[in-house]
Amino acid sequence: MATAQQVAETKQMVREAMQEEGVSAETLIRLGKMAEAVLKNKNLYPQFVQAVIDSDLAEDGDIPAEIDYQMLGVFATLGEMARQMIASGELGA
Amino acid sequence: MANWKKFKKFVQKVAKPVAAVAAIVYPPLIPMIGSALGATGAATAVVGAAALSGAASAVAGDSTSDILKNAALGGAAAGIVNAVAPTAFDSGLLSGGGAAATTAPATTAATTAATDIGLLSGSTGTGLTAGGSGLGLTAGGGSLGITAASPGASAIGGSLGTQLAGISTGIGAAGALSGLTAPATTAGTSAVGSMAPVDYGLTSGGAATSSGGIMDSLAKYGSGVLDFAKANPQLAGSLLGALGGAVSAANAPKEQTTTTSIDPQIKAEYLANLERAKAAAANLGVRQFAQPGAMYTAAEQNLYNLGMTPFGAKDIQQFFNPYEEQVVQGALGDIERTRQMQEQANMAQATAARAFGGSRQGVVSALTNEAALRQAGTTGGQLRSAGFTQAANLGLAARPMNIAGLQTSMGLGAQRDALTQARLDAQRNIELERLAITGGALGLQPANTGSTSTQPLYSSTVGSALSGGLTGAYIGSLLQPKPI
Repeated sequence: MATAQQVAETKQMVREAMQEEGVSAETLIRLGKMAEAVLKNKNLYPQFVQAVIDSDLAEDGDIPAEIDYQMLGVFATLGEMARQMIASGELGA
Repeated sequence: MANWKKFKKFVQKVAKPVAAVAAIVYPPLIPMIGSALGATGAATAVVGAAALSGAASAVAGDSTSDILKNAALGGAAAGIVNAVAPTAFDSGLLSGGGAAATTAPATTAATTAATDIGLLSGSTGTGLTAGGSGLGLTAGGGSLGITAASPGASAIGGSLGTQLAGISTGIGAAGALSGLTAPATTAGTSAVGSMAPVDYGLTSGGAATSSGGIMDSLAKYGSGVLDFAKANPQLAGSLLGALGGAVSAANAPKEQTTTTSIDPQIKAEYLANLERAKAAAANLGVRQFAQPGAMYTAAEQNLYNLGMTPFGAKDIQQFFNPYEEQVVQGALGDIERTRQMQEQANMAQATAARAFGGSRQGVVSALTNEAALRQAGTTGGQLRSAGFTQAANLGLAARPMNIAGLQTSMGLGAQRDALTQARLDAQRNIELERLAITGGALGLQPANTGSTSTQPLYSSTVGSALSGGLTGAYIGSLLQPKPI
């Protein structure tokens, strides 16, 4: 079980990576919402993949045709993490 | 708009640490993933956690199954995920440890397992082998309440050990070398009991180490097992709980029987009625049909004859005026009397003219007779012709009336025959009518004479394993060192 310390460190790591790679909080939140939608309805996976590609977050073949639950879980967690960081003031809206 | 290359680098940087804290950052996520993978109930948490455990490969292009197989916890994850399928307890849950221990030499297998896949192999090959009654999770477990001294702890360990001995042959081999086979039970129990309450009992540095307890035995096969157990006590607890749940499911009842019955009096009445129905059916004769009555038969025959007889003299004859001849004869008599009167007058006239008997009288008499005969012929012919015409017309008019009369007679005869048929049917159907009355009293629906149904209870070993895993995860969370 991760500790609060680990969570804080991870958030810091995410913030730094966002700055380094130019990824916005809005992108993470939007991606997280889409990932959650797919987890609740697997039939939406093709639309999810296409939306990710259309948003220039991936290219063809980068996301497997088979549902990758780990990827969806990471995206959903990143989205939630971004929401929490905005709410706490750690990230600008 | 983000660039996909940068975003991919971003994900690769953060995927693993984010997955590690996902359960805390976003608690609903784990069961959400488990549910998406087909798990239900409490199992969703275990399956979801297992699915996330290989997140190091996220967005790397690998398939989910490949990620699960190749990840650091691949053995555990694959075992739990495979457990969703109802066939693969042995090959799935134990694939990380039991299978390896079966195929490789025991010592090598345990060592390899400790290095490569950590607690799972250690669990099946060492810590949870037959006779593992000493697997009380803590020594003096003040915080857990599960100690070797706790009531039932020994029984739980013994049961787990016995069941595990039958699950995989490789377990026994690995267990024998691990020092946790039956002879180790007593030592393990006492060792756990001697451990300090604050010690988790899962570290090589705990009090159990010096007494030859479980963790001490585990420590012999590499620090990877213990390190993993310390770092992931929740998952380690899940695996222990899963094994326990599987053992419980193996002894669970597999079917249940439900018996329903009705009021015995109703049942008796129903059965009696059924017997009456059988008797009535057996005695039911062939339906009798009434023969056509005399009235119907005669009318039908006459109608047939009438239809087959063309209109003719006979039809006319019956309508001749029976007084026609008298009329004719009367008319002819009148003519004769007139002739005779004329003849008398002729004779008187001839006498007065002193020509009686002469030729002149003869001529006058002849003319009178000729006129009388001619008048008689004309009159008789006219009268008889008129009589014939009238009789023919009457005969033509009478034929349809005769047909109608015969049809009416047939209808009356048919009504009489229907009455006779009704009498015959009533005699035949009397038993059926009686059955209808008793059957109606019993209700329109057939009586439920009672039934017994047996339904299988799908208390699968896999489902119980997952449920047990969740409980184990909770215990593992209690083992988790509190953050500083």
